[in-house]
Amino acid sequence: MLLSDLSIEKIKSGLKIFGLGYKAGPFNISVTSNIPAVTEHIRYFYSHYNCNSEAVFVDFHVEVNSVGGYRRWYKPQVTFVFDGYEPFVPLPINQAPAMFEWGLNWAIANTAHQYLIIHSAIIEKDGYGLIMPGTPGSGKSTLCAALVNRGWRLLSDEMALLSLADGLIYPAPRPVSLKNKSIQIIKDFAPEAAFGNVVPDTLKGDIAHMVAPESALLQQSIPVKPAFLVFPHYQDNAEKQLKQLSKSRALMTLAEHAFNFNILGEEGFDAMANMIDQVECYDFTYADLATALEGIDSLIK
Amino acid sequence: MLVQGFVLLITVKNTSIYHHALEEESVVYDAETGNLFLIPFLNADILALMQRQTKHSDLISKMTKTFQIDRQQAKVYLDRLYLEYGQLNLLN
Repeated sequence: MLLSDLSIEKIKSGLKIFGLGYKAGPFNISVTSNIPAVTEHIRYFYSHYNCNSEAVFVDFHVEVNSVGGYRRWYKPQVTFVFDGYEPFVPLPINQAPAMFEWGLNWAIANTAHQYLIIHSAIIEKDGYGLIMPGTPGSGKSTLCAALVNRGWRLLSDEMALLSLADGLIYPAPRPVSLKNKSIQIIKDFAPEAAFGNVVPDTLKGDIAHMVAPESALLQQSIPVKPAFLVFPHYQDNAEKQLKQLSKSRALMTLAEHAFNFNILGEEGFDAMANMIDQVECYDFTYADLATALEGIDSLIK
Repeated sequence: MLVQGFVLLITVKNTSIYHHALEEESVVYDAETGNLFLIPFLNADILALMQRQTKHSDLISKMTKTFQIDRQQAKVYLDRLYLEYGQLNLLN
């Protein structure tokens, strides 16, 4: 059963009382919230996700609730709670949906240690998995959003889940988070893509989420073999350059992008080294989306 | 020691060394500290032997062949490697 099959009353009561359960990739998530904007966010962005059955083991119990007391009237705020723990300071209430997404990223990155978790976008086409780690400003999410609107499958715009058991990357498709100028760039590039409201003035600037394509959800139980590792670099007026990177140097750089590399220790190093051995590694400099897409598509031709 | 295709993953003294046969640099992972080091492949080869407590004379012989240098130069180079890798906590 999909979340869209539930009545609005059932969704509201689920969110308020029992926790609304759904499946994203390998994870069963349960969310509780008393904030109407979170209800709307879930209905809009997660309507095509499968509901959890009642008997299922829940991986992540998260709560996104408004702060009580006088805060209800004066500059209302939202808190994120994961397994009874509040990892973040409260944020303004208009950031509640964004806090839900950020908080869930945090919860996955800090607990799902059956995977080596790499801070990167991960997409797939014709069976080729493409990992795009990125520092802020590299254009990772923008490129990812553009590519998934041009035939690539979204596994995640935020984290690659490299299984320690089989070396495959598992999808956990969720809304794609875009910031500042990227929002309009992708709206212009893919007018058919569905977006939520722009939330201004967050810690990351203005942000908006793009709905994960349905194709990503239909294949969310299918892992992918990594084939390419591309470090994108957005640079104004730069000429497009796809430069092969040595595997050793790629390994050094990739380790900086892994959330739980130090926690996994040698197991994490071995998993990363084995993955690096399978993939072609590139530094990719680009100045605009059209040439960037050409460059990425050329990898699989 | 685990050999996979072009890759050599050697585990000695809580360190792992990643090397791709077509590349000139290797990555050394120190499991005790979590630190990574990028070092020349030939040095990584010597490091692995040093970690296995290979006899000094055998190391010198290996280095004279590998680096095409004489025994005196090899001794000096080996002393430098012992000092450098000792400081990086890569040796017992």
